[in-house]
Amino acid sequence: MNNSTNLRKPKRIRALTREFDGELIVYDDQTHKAHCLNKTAVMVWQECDGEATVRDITNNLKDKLQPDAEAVVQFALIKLDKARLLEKGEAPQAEGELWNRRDLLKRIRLVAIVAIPVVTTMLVPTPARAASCLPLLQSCTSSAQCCSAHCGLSGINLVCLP
Amino acid sequence: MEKLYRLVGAAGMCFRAFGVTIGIRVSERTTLEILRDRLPPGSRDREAGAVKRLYSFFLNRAPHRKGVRRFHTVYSDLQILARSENESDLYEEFERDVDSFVAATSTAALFIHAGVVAWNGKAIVIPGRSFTGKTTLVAEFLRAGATYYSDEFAVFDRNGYVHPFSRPLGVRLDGSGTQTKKAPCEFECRIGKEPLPLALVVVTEYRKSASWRPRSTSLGRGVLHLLGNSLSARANPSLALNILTRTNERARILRGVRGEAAEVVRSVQRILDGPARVTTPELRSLASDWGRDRHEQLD
Repeated sequence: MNNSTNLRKPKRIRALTREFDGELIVYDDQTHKAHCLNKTAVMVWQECDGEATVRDITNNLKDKLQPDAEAVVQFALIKLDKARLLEKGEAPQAEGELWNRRDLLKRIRLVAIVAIPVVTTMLVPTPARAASCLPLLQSCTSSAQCCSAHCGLSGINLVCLP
Repeated sequence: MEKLYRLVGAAGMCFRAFGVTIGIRVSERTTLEILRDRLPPGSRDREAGAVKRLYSFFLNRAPHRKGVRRFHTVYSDLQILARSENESDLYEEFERDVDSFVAATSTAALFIHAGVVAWNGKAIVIPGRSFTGKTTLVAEFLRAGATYYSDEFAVFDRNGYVHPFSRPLGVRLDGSGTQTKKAPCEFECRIGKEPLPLALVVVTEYRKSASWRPRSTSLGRGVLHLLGNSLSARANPSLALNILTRTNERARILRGVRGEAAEVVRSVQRILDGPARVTTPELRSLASDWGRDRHEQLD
């Protein structure tokens, strides 16, 4: 990792969080996405206070993320940045500039499975998207019934249209 | 609004479901009796007062004239919700809309789009979007002796317990998209009344000729799947997360594609009936999760 990366100060976004059995659910109300962070990702994300540099974070977690804290922190930051859980401008550089992805994966393979940071993301739907709906060309009486949200005329019948 | 009042001033009623108050006005008094059967489960009559949504039913009884179509209309507040020559279309649409509205605006409960059955006094929740095979799976559980809770929504109260929301099952026959309503008792089942703790979340999707090899996944990921099918989490994420934190911490989450529903039901029954009865392939499948998880994470 180069020096400029080490001196960056990643900052986590402000979001709603709840802990579930060691994992953290983070709800971002800007994007309406919910993220599930495993224990390692949580450790790194919580260190991202906008004050600590990447080097500080690595040093702080050195004992907990044996044997390769640097690779794990870097991998976690990339994952967190991809999930937009870090504020813009403070995220680490694009992964290509820092590590070759393959090299990073090689290094991270040596880390115990429990220590690999994982961020899983899911879009929280609008009520209409979440409810049961009709497929295309089924007869309908209102747009809310259709999966495509468009109930329109086809000949003389109202059907779900794309 | 006044015009609408004149059209539908014959009678009205007010009810409350899961903390949401709703009003109905009709142009014919008899319509109210038909609508009573279509109110959300657990609805209670209320005295007239402020409502969150007002439905107005106008049944057009003008004499038939050649070349003129006679439409009945239902309004949701001031917007036309449905317009049809067939009265029953209006009632269907009302039922669908009122359920969705209650689900999206309730502050007393969290609604997840899911099928729910009970086995040995514990709730099995099957979240998923339309056309993922939830109803088929619920029907198969009922045939195997499970208690029916819901085909549409898993309703979690503020203590994390799952409540019944028992509407008839919306079965899609012969691969058509249209749902045919079937009473749960056609499957020789019992209908649940008591709130139950969550025991199992089955995240699955039907795939032709797939076989059911479930993977046990973490509670956090299970919560993510529930949020991904929730109707009110966008509007009130804090309430949704608070409710989900109170669900049973020991609930298990199983994930995987499925083929025949009967295979899933047998497997889930064995898992819930006790570890001693879990067969070797299931144990092998669950034990190999670590390996597969690792593979997935690295890819």
